[in-house]
Amino acid sequence: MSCACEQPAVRARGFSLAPARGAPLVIEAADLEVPAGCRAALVGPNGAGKSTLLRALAGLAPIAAGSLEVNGAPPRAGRPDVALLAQRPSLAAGVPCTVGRLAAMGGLGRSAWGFAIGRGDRARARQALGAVGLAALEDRPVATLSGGQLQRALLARALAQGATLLLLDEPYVGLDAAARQALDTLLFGPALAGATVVVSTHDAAELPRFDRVLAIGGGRAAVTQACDGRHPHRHA
Amino acid sequence: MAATPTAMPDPTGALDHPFMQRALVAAACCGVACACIGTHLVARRMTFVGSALTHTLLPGIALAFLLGFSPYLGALGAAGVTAGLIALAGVRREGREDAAIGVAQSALFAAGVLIMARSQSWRDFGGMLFGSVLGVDGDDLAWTAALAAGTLAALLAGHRALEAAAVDEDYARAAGLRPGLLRLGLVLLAGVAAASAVSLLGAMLTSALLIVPAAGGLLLGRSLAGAMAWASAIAVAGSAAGLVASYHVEALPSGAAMVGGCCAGFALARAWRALRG
Repeated sequence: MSCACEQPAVRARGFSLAPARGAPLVIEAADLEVPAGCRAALVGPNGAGKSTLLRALAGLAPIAAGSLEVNGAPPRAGRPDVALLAQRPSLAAGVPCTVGRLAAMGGLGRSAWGFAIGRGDRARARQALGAVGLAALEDRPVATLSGGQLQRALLARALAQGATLLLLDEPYVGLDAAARQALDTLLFGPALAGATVVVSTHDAAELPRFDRVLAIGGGRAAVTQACDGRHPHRHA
Repeated sequence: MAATPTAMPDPTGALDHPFMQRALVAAACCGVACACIGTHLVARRMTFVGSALTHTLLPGIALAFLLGFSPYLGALGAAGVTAGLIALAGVRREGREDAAIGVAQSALFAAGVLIMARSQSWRDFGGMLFGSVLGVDGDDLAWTAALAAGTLAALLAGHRALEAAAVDEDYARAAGLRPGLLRLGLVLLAGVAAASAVSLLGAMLTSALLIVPAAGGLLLGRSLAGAMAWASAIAVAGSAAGLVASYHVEALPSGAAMVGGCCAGFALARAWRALRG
């Protein structure tokens, strides 16, 4: 079975990227491809542009040159098929919010207006919380969650959103061994079957688990570990 | 035989008077509106914005007095100007936003005093600063109810978006919302809610209605909606208790008594939270 996917989740051609308009390029004239269903790790030194690349894929950072396609279309904010889990979630500490309500925010792309959460969004949120093992914590305030539980709650929000491309920026930072194990079980297990996952990480010990490793640094981007074509997660 | 239902008697006799009934209804209307919008402000750590916003209503009210138009229109105009200045301070990031808001508050309040000085009517100045709860007439009641209803309707329509932007601004932006515009809308709505209370509490005391019940509600609610419900309860119960107390104690100004009642509600919420651990 070859690795030629019917439509890659990410395809970049001659693509350049800067962290801000007018700033020096962190990626210059690169070609990148992430097949649908892959688990891809994004590695590189600090400041190499990992977070900027993930933001560009989510439509939150403009590309400087070339072309970039996500699930066959140019990236833009508000797409329900793409979810970015930031390195430092900007969750406001003073705003009361339950885990269930946070997960239900995955439905924002469908409807952001009104007071009550729709029945469909509520059901999707419950299903997503069940998939990440937080069903029992639906009514818990988000502020009382541990770091690992918060990661899973944010993943549940992404699942409730219906995202098929999940972008996780340094998700292992600050997690203890048990929480890392729980996160790995989610990322590589059946909960995210069918989704494409791109994870930026500094942790070399995690890399062998990924189908593909994208290394960036010094303005260049390269695939250092190609997908072997089996896409085990897509068919999990 | 079934008992004939009768109106619940008012043990204090305070609510037998139409002026007290109007005051109570008006206090409930603007209390709920201010408590709900205030919950958003306090949760987002925008308490200073709320305080500054109400103080800057003074030039609008004073100008309305001088030129003879509705103080509510004056307050709404002043709130619009303040919201614009606050939004500008948020966009122009080269300076400290809170300092810019403080400057706007001082400048506009001083402008209000200057306008009053031109009117040579310091007797009415007390009403503009501290309101006149017991002087609420039918027109005041209609304005207060309309502004409060408008605020609540907008808040209900935008609740999910405002909540999402408050909880996780980055995610809201990624989902296609505009957190900056939502923040501006929130400040404008806070201005409308504050304008609903100008006749009752004036430019100085209205900030208490925006902040105190909201601070109490956020101690009790598990979600933003829950906190808004608790804040509304504190605002209505505290205002009613204060009004009734001021009716019986001649030396107790009604506006200050309403604020005192809300502060008592906050203290109870704080104590309950401390007891629960």
